Amino acid sequence: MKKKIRKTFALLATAVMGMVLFTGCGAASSPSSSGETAEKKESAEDEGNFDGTVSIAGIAPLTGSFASWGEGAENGYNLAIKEVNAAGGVKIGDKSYKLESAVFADDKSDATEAASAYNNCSSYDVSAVIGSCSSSCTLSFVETAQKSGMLVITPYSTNATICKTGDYIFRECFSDANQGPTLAKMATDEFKATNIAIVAAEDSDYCAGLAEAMEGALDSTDGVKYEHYGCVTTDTDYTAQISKAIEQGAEVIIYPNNYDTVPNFVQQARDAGFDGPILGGDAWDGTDVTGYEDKFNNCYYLAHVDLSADTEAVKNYVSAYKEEYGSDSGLNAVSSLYYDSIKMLVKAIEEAGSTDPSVIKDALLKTTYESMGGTITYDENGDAVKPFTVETFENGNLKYYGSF
Amino acid sequence: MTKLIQSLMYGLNLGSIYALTALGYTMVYGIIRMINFAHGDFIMVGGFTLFYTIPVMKNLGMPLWLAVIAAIIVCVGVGVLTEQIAYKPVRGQGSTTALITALGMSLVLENGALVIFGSAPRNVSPMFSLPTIEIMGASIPGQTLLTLVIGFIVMAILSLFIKYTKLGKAMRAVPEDKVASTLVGINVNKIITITFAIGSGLAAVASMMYTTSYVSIKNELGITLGLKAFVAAVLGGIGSIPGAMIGGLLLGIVEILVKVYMLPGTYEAVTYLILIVVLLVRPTGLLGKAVSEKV
Repeated sequence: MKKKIRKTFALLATAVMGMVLFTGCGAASSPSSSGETAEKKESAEDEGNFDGTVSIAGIAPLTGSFASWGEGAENGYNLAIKEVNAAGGVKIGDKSYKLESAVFADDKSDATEAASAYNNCSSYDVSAVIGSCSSSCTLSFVETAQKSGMLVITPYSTNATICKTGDYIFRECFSDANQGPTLAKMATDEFKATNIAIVAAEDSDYCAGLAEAMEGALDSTDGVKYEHYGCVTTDTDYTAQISKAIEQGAEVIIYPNNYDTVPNFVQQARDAGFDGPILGGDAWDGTDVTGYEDKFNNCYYLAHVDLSADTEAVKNYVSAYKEEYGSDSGLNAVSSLYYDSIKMLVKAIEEAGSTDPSVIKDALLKTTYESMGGTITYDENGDAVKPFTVETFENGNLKYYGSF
Repeated sequence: MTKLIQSLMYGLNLGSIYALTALGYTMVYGIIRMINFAHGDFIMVGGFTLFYTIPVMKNLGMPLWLAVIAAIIVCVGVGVLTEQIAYKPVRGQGSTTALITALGMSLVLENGALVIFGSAPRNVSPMFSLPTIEIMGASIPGQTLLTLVIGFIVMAILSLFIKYTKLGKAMRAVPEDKVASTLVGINVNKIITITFAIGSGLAAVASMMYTTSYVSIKNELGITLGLKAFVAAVLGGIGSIPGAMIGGLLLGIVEILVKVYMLPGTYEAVTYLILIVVLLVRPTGLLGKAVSEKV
């Protein structure tokens, strides 16, 4: 019996190590889940005023690691639909149609779940799917969408390959193909760095893709030395990477990873004695700085929109959001991107004069849309070309730093 | 050379947290021969308790570290409740049933926390501001030393407690023979409950040191930490209290060294391959004794 127990143990321990091994190499996923959050939205609008309906569907992470994006996403999505209908719906020719959400599906911050969320959306007769947030999730369904001729606008997935999938795939945000070089340029031009360290997660399409685009730009910059250190999305300890960055003499550290890991990284970097600028990508949006306000000074990240901006579009959006939901919970860049995606889609549908995805896609390519983050036009891939906003922290408060 | 010392220091910091966590695993296993996979999640519960009580302490003007007492109370409560509700009914159904129940409880706690606290990561406010100490050109954060000191104190107290107190003797008797223990007047159920209370209390102490080094907590915190601490406990020889300490420290140091000198992105694969090799050579772990068990 004793021997048996020992044997069972060795086996069990090996199995557990195997599990760790696999989580180490595998995709970032969170096993937490709390049921499907697909629900049919009923609008209070009177059906009688419209000549028909235009259906769309949305996908966002309502649970899982990125749930704080999902809350704002769903709110921005619903707010835009409500406003479109209040303004008379979607106007095609001399008829007006009611904009309706068939389903708002939860991808649970997980690529496999995102694929089934997409299947749920496409099972309805919809003109377009708006989603999702993380690049790994969006990548899991764009190919299927392209093959079946479904129009997809991703509000927040920046991975460079997404829109190259085909002509039905668009985005509301900028692409990493532009974001990477912009981050690199900020480090070399704005902060005059000649020695740069990059710490990027290797198990995330977003982080790895962004790092690659950055390296491409740094390679072609003269007199700049850089090192890339990997990590994984479930890491909490970055002391090894940080001490290597300090040893290398880095003047700027670029940390293009997701917001949930940023506090640990910044605290450890400051504790290790790194006082230089720390730059991040758009996934820093939503970073919690509570309790560590002083350590976040001299940190910068690229944003899609500055929600403290003094422009009419932003002010209107912020006040409409607070009025609709009673607080600013979830009022982040993601929410504004979902909102703008729908407004832009409606503009394209009206310009196309059709709800057929194959006609809308051509209209989208030609459209020029005034988003909260600046004017959006499309290149031949369906990638949005729009200005970059840079945000910084001042004693814990977000502050607009400039546009690039 | 400085690089090596610095890396060892960072390894000690990470390892001391694994060690504190592994102590809880090993303690419960040593007494009731059950792997409590929910132990990592007890640490998450402790972390959230600290998140909510530290601001309260701040407002009341009390020393912030007192928040750990609240964390201990909550963790012990959750631990004992888990034991009473989930583990006690399946006791005697074999080790596989207990193991699956523990995995189930772990998921219940993680998803329960998702419902209660949401999935957004939170920052636990700093509890102490300890100075960084310079040793031979390398800097060692104050909290690393504190975690190590706490780890060794806990280890010493636990060892002495189990060896010399009456309760400790009873704890050692229970795993050897439950029936005989009952015959000599030991209340087996009570001993097991006390064991869980101590194990969960240790989780609260571990959560204090975890949040001092890694400020951001979320409901999934226990998954990776628990898995790694379990590996540390097995590596040191599960059931052995000094073994958990050594296993934890070793695991942390190996992880950091692999990150610094080999591949930072795939360090887990390399680290755990090394550890599997260690276990193949010594299946009982480093300090594990091949004592015969009466069944």
